[in-house]
Amino acid sequence: MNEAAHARVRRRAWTVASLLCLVMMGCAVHFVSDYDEVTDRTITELQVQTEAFVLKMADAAGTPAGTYDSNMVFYTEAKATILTMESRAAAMPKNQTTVDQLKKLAENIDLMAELHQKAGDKGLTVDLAGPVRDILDVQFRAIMKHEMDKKRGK
Amino acid sequence: MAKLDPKDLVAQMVGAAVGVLKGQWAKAKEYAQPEFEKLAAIAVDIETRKLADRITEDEARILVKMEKNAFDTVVLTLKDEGVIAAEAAINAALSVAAGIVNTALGWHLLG
Repeated sequence: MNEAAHARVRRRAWTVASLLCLVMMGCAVHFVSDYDEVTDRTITELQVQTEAFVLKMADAAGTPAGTYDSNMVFYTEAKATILTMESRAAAMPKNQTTVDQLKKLAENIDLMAELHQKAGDKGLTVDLAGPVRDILDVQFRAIMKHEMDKKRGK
Repeated sequence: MAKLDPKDLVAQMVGAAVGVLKGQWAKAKEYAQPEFEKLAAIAVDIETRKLADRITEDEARILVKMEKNAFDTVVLTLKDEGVIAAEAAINAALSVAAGIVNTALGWHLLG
């Protein structure tokens, strides 16, 4: 048997031995983080709050109560919630997808704030609030689905 | 006159997702297809409002950016859906192998 053949046999033996160890140790592979009940609950609560806010703004559009300046607190608190969730998600191994999804959500809250601010006294009219609500609905659903997928049928 | 065709948009989104998911698209389609149709409808809605001058060009631009972020979020979910499915398949195989090995060891121990 030549050197290359010896090397192939050694590699195969090593692979079989490793797999045998995994099997005997009862190891399972884990490519994605486990389900996190806190993340699931927090994102659901944020969706409810955001939905309520957008609907309220559509109703209040054109009045002082509907301007960005009167409602900055919502954006600050929403961003704080998302950043906290991001920190938690980043602390869990193999959870990069959730971290990336939360970054995208934070970007959209910033863009919504930009829309609202630029609208001035007009506020978030139905023509803006409608698409915003629909877009965020898709986004929240994707994040929640990903969290549910981590349950792995449990 | 409206320029966006929702069916065309869905096809483009599916094309992009298939490129990322490759062989996993068939499993992912059940979740992905309705989401892509929703996003396509939103894009047409934005265009309609823009053409009717109910939103400005700048507002439309910001809404499209938001929609792109939503699309990216959906694709991230789809990618991991495939990874979790692969993980389940590997663990099922490991479990079967463990059963075989432990049974063999059991015979040795008893033997």
